[in-house]
Amino acid sequence: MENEFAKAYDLYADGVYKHCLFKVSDQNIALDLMQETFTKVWLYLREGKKADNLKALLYKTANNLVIDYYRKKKSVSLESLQSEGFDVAEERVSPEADSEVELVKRALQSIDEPYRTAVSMRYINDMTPQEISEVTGDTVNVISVRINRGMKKLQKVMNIHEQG
Amino acid sequence: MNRDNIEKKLREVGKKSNLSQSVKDQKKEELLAFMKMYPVREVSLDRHSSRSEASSSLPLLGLRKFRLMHAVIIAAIVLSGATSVSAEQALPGDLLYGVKTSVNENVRGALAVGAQAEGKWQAELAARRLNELAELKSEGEVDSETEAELTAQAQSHAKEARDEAKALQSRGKIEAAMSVLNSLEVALNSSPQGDAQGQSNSNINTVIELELDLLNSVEQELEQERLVELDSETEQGSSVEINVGGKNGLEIGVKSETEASNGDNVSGMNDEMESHDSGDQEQTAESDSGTSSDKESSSRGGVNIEGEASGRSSSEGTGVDMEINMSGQVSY
Repeated sequence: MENEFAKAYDLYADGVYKHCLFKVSDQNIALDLMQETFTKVWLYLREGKKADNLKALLYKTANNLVIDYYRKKKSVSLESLQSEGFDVAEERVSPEADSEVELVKRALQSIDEPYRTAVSMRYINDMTPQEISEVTGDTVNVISVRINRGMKKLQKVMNIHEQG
Repeated sequence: MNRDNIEKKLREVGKKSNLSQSVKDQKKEELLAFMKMYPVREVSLDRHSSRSEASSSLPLLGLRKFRLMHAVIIAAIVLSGATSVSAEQALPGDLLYGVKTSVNENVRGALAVGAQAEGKWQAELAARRLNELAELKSEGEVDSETEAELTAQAQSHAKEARDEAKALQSRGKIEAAMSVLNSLEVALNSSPQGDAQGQSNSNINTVIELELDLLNSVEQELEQERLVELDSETEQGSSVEINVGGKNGLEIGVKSETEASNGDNVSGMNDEMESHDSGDQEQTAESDSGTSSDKESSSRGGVNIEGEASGRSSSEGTGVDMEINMSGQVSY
């Protein structure tokens, strides 16, 4: 069981990390959340509880931890505002080789939920609509529609960028 | 920028955002350390664990969890069955007495559906409490508190049984009420009164006597009602005759009392029943049944009128019938 879980870490650590990263926009926090996700799921599994879909379970747990994180953040808003501002500044000055990739990344962060999550899970995490639906609990149809609309929004933002 | 392009860029973003290998390895080490700190629980198991590990810790071929659950359930059933069986013999103060009163008896009580079954069950409960008390006394380990408690419980159960009987009576189910009372009587009589330790059992005996008295009074009420019911059943042959019988009932009653050729049967029946009774209750009971047999004979007279009325032409009958006949005709 330990071996299998270690394998699951190899497979899904990046995905979970990215999933968190695009929600909290902070590498360190995302890293913490990713680690907490794996420890939590391990504590769940060691009790002998079943996980039919380990991948979906990991993402679900990560989702909940992100929500928890935002709830906690509200109570210490001043501190978090500072750190957020700092992060944004850092991102801006961070030199990107491919500016277009950076632009898409920014554009993605500008579109609203639930489209952003749908698009980021679909392309950044490279999950199928089926897999996403298992994490969010929505139907595959709903997810597909969200991806579609999200992509259209993204296109609009990119076009404005290109024109401007 | 078209959609395919955006998709491509997004995937690139995804790749770029991946963890660096060093960070990933470092975090993996931390996770493995954490997993060692919190290893898999021994009892539990799931499909993610390897088979070899499962069979080494318990030789149940990976079905350990299910087997274990089954074993626990079966053990629980067997144990609870054995417990409640042995609890049946428990006396107040025993460990299992609580199981007897609050599990076994509640289960049986719940199974007794309907007023009659409920009443009989209450009768048995009363007997059980009395038996327990008697048994404790014979073992000489009863304190006044337990005794008072058991007596009170027995009385309340007996009262429950009587109430059920009365409820049945009020609903017109006289037979059912009678059978409840009978079982209460049997239950009270079967409890070991007046045995070797007569003196110490006096308390029980007074309780039992008291209960029997109460029981008898209810029984008599029932008996009367039943007889009245029988009358009305026979009277309900046709509506006109009932009227005649009802009006003349009292008159005829007085007259036929001297001859009493009809009433004999009925009062004989009542006497037989009264022989069950004991104590001072008997006196009132007899007077009660006296009136009832009067009514009985009188209404029987009424019935006779009807019989005569229909068959008047064929036979003049005995003297009694004649008289009744005449009085009936006169007042009509």
